[in-house]
Amino acid sequence: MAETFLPPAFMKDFDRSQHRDRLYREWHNDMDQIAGRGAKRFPAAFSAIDPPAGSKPKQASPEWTGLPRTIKRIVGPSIAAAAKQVDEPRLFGSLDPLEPRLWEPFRDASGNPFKGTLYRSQDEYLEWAVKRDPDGVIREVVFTCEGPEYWDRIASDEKLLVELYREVCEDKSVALDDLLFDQDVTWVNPYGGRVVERFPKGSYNRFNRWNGVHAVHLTHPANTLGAEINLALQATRPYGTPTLVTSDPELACCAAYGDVNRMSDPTIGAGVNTQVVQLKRRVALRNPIGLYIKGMQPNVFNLPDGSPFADQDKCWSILRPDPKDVTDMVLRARFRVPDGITVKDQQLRVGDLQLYGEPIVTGGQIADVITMTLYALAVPGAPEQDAVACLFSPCRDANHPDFIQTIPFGQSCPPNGVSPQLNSVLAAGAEQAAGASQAGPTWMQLSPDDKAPLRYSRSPS
Amino acid sequence: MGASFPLEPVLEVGEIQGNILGGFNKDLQLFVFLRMPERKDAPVRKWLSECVDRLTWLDEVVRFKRQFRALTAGLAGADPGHLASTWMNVALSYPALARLSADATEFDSVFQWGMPGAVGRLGDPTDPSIRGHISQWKFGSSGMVPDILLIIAADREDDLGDRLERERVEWSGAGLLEIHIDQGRDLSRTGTPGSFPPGLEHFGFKDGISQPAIRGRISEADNDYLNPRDGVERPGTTIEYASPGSPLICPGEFVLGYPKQSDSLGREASEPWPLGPQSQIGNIQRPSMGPLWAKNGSFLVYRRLNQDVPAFNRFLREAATRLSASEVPGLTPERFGAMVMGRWRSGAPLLRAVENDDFDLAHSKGSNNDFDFLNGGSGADQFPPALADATGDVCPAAAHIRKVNPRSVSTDQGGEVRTLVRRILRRGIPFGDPLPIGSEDDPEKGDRGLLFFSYQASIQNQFEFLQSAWANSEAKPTSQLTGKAGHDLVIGQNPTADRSRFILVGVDQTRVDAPPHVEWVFPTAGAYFFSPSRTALSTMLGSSGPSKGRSSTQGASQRRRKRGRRAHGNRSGEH
Repeated sequence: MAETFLPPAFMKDFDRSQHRDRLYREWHNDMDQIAGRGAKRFPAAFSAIDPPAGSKPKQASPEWTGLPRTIKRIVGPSIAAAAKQVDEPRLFGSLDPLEPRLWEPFRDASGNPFKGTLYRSQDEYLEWAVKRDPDGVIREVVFTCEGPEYWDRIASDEKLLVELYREVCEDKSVALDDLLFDQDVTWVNPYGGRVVERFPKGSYNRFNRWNGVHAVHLTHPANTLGAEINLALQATRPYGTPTLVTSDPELACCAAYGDVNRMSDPTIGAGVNTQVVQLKRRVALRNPIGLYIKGMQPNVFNLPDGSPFADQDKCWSILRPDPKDVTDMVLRARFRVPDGITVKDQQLRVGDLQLYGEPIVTGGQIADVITMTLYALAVPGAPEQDAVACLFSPCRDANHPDFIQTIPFGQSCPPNGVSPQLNSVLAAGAEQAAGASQAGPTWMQLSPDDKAPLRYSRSPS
Repeated sequence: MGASFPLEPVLEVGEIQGNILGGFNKDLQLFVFLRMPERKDAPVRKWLSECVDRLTWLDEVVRFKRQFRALTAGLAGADPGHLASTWMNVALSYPALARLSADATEFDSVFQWGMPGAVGRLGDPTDPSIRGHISQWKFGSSGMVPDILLIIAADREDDLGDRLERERVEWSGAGLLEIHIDQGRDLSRTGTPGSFPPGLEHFGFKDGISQPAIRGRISEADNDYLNPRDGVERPGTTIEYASPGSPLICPGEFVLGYPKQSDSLGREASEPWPLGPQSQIGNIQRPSMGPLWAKNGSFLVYRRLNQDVPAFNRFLREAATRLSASEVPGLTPERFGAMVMGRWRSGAPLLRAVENDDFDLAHSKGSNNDFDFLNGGSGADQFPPALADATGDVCPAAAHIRKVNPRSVSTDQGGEVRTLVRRILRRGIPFGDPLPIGSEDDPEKGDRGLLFFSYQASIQNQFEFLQSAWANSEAKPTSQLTGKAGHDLVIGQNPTADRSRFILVGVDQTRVDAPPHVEWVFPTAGAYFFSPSRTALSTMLGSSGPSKGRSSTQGASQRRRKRGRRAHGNRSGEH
């Protein structure tokens, strides 16, 4: 029997469905379309379920950390200050410190913004939900890296969808209607106005409030399995004419397969590109394709008096897959100090700990010590390919010297850096994140001919 | 409107302590750890201010080294033995700085909590029964952090001893208590003369070959660079090199107050680390790296690392024996050691001397550092060109020199430019008597190892990052190419409970496990310090101290210039 693409981390959720076989088959088809048959469009890529005959693939595993590097580049050096900007879920259409322009992609049948959809401004394929005690101190942080496509597939069995949401959210009050659109909506390209996708009333709403609060699966528009796969495939091409561009940040800008300020995109892209262009290998994403939590950097926390916290391991628990089924692929985990670990006779909480000398006041600080990974396979034999011309070049930002701006390839960087209005957006975003502004966002119509690179996209569309 | 930052700023050479950017690099060095007397700050302040003119500043080190280079050029590289000096630098830990300056609270939190707060992150043992646990250290545990570190370096034994005694009188007079002295000594200056070549560490490997070069000028003259450049344009990289293997890095990565290295553009400078009270962007607070008077200063990390030489040699022999019987026929302990280190004992890089050590290559300055892990060498010299080895088939991806400096290979952090901002200035020197090279016996269980110390502008982003994120990792920094390549078996520690370590070697990536529960490098002391500028020592720390916020940079600079001219005149005839 031919090998098929399996659910991320060999998850067995489909086994619980009456439509088990259909779900497995459809999931295989989903992945095959983009990473199996889809890989055939790229001469240096191959399908993990159809490797070149006789090859003995070597494994490679790009690694990155979970707190968006973009916000660290803007805010740094304090991790806590950076993490504060992205820690809470936000409404589409609200100011986002990672995105210099407002956008509101969901529209109702009349073309007006559709309100109420939530996402997290956490774009490194890791998202988290923070739970605090009434005094505001963090009790636990739950992390997920499950791609939304997998949950789209689960949603085709509504019974299974509700069942899993209730388990993951640990709340029996989750109702099916909470998870579905209550009217017809469309998702429009925020910079072009073109309708990208239609969601009829009753279809699964990835950005529902339960997901917003509990981080059931990834919500950031760039955090999809499709984006990961597309990025990896695009990176199998040589870039730069007449001189090849092989190193970041020039490569990520030249290829524009992702956001150069993120940590994940350039790391994945450069890893794949080096395999192909410099080591002459062909590349595939290992089956089951997924984005995975590799783990947490050990022994990084300190107690309130500054001494090392010796019980970090006891605080980390894997939630998905079931711990007995865990291999090297983790999709969901929790960081919480177990009951009984005390300091001065008081129960210790996550918010009592310190990281790099700063008290833990955000989940993002913990995300910053979580290592993410994906698994790729490489075999010899990449064919010669014509190089693709560069699209962009990197320049310094005028206000945030560590932040990279892109300009069309061939143009020169302004001597004092590119000068967007990042400061004002950041300040406003911070106010909103802090709850200072409860006023609804102002919709800004973007010009259809706006050709600026899509920051939210991992590939220009 | 954004500002542009000078790529080659003029360095205030009379303000910066000489060991930071100049490197004392003396064969004989003493590290004196002092504690301030309880509630008696005034004598210590007086001592510090009086120290200022006895300390060695960057201008003096530069003059000496230029003179040394000129002389050695005339002597065909031989050491001009008559040229000698005795130098001293000082550094203070956070507890001392906090006593002497109210605005020391503006130092970054990693420095404030010091090494006692960092041992977990660094991967040091958490089990008190394991050697290397902080409870077993000679100093550095909580409550045992020295206040002051004095570094005294000399070329001659007598000079060193004399200076120590003279300084002892001074610090004793100020009521400072001597809590420990480490004696660093090049191994060539121990035992029988000639038994050890210079520059080796106790495992018998040449140390300190590869250092970053620092951008910046020492005068207003256009080309009066601190680090001379060979002028060679190297295609295929956006980084500029001063010499083979020595990338030019902006001085703000090592000294506060200067432009940092852009972490995205190899030939651009970035905003200096913020100093002074917290700054605001919108309503975001940006903590600073230190108070305003931290300008021209640098953070100093001190780690007293003991080396269990027999355990290391035994591992090399046993692993080589095992591998030679199967996966790597003919493998010797020496060659396996070169795989673990990335260089042969002589310092010859493995990628330019694949089968055997090459002493001529090792002693050929420039050639011995002219290699890269990603790209093959040009063969511009008489030695075999360096192999391209991105995946570690020849020089393992977890070899020590690759872990701490992956050169042009992209890492989890991004392209080669992002490695620049992780570099540190290493100033380590061995301590203790050496065992014969390759020895597996040490009946006296000698106290020996490396007095590791480094200068950097961010302890968290540089020293701690290299140790915890790369050396201690089983996969990073190049897992996107090499998967799990193993740990740095020289300085790496696996912080997990079993502390197991391994390395993958050879084309087939054969796994070699280190013996369980045997760590041949383990800390026995350590602390984080700050090396202040002349102005800071004179006006903020060494006097009764102006009130918080009065440390005008301009005023301090003017005061410094006046004192600097006097001091330069005084020192001009010292050599």
